[in-house]
Amino acid sequence: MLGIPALLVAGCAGSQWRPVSAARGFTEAGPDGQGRESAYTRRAREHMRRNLPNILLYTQDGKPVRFYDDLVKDRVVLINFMYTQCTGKCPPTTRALVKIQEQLADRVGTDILILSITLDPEVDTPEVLKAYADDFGAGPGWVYLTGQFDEIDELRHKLGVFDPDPILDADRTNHAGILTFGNERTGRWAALPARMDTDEIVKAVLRITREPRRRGDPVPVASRSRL
Amino acid sequence: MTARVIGRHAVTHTEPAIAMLAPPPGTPLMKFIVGPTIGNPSSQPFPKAANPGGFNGDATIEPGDPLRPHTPITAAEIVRTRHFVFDREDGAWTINERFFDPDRDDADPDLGTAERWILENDSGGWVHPIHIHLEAHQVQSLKERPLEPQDAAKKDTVLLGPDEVAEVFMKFRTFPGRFVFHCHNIEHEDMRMMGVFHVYE
Repeated sequence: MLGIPALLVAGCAGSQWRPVSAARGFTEAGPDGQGRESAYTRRAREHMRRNLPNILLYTQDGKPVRFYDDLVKDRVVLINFMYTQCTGKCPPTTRALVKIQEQLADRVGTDILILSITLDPEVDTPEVLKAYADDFGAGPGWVYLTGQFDEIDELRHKLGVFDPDPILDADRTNHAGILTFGNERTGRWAALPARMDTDEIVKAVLRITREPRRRGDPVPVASRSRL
Repeated sequence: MTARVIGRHAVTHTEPAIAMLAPPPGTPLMKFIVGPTIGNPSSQPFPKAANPGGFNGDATIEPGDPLRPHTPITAAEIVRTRHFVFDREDGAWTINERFFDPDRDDADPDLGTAERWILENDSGGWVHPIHIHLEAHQVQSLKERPLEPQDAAKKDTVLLGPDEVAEVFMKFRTFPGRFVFHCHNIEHEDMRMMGVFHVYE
């Protein structure tokens, strides 16, 4: 395994996704490829690094991974919470992710990972998640994750996927319809409901993957409003 | 006390698309002087029709100046009623059980007509300030409280408290095209509590 970057920790070795150095659009010179990182970006990244718990999770292949260090750092991630016995909102979300995976094509697995985290880790063992992932056609870079319930619950709250009403929050189907996505290298994070138009979600994710526009940069056509 | 807010100069834009629209830097735009009766002997009352000499560039309003008259939209003008329910779904926010899609028209009023819009908050204890672009609306009734004198003014936002149902009149007098209406709570707006109405000629 000579030449694997240091950030690809031992826990990840042999897993499906490629090392981040193969990612498109970014270089090790910095988040914008030129070594420039604004004070805003630095603060935003630091805020997320401090707040996202670096919990121990297990992939559908049984590999132990640290949430922040192994999955989020230096990448764009799409995160949803699900459980395999969920019959209401999880299947539509997963079907939306299948379409998103297709549209993002080979970026999923390089600079983009899809992370599906179970809300029901007692039932959703790696084996159960693997069968579910295979059923839905999860490709390389789509990682199903299980772990300790309390730690996953803390992560869910840190990502803002909760209802302030404890009765509604206890109904886990309420958390299965949100996609949270972020770019660790720029500190930009967002969330959208998975049931909305998939093309709009992909556009939003692609905006997140880009470096922040600098003063004097041309206005990208895709960001112009159609309204 | 004499407070002044004076906007004198056009902003310099570096973005090419905007720079084309912007006047050259330093172009005087409009001056606002905010304060108690800063008298100007040349001030002319509104509306313009009452000012045969035309607008002289000074919009100072003195006590007693006639203002633009308020024209109520009457029930006789209403050609259509639309019902919009504001709700929470999937941890996000919907109007009529749909998430915002900028490519979809959620209403299609005709230019020159007036409509009754029923705006209903069905999202539990949440509060939604509903902001409608293009035209001021006129609140006719609220389910949860009696109307106050200040509710009679032209509004661009109506506050829907828990279980509130607002009946408002809209008149599409000016421009055809696509415009939005949305909850002005930024998180709700971002999480898709927005709709498009397309005014057709």
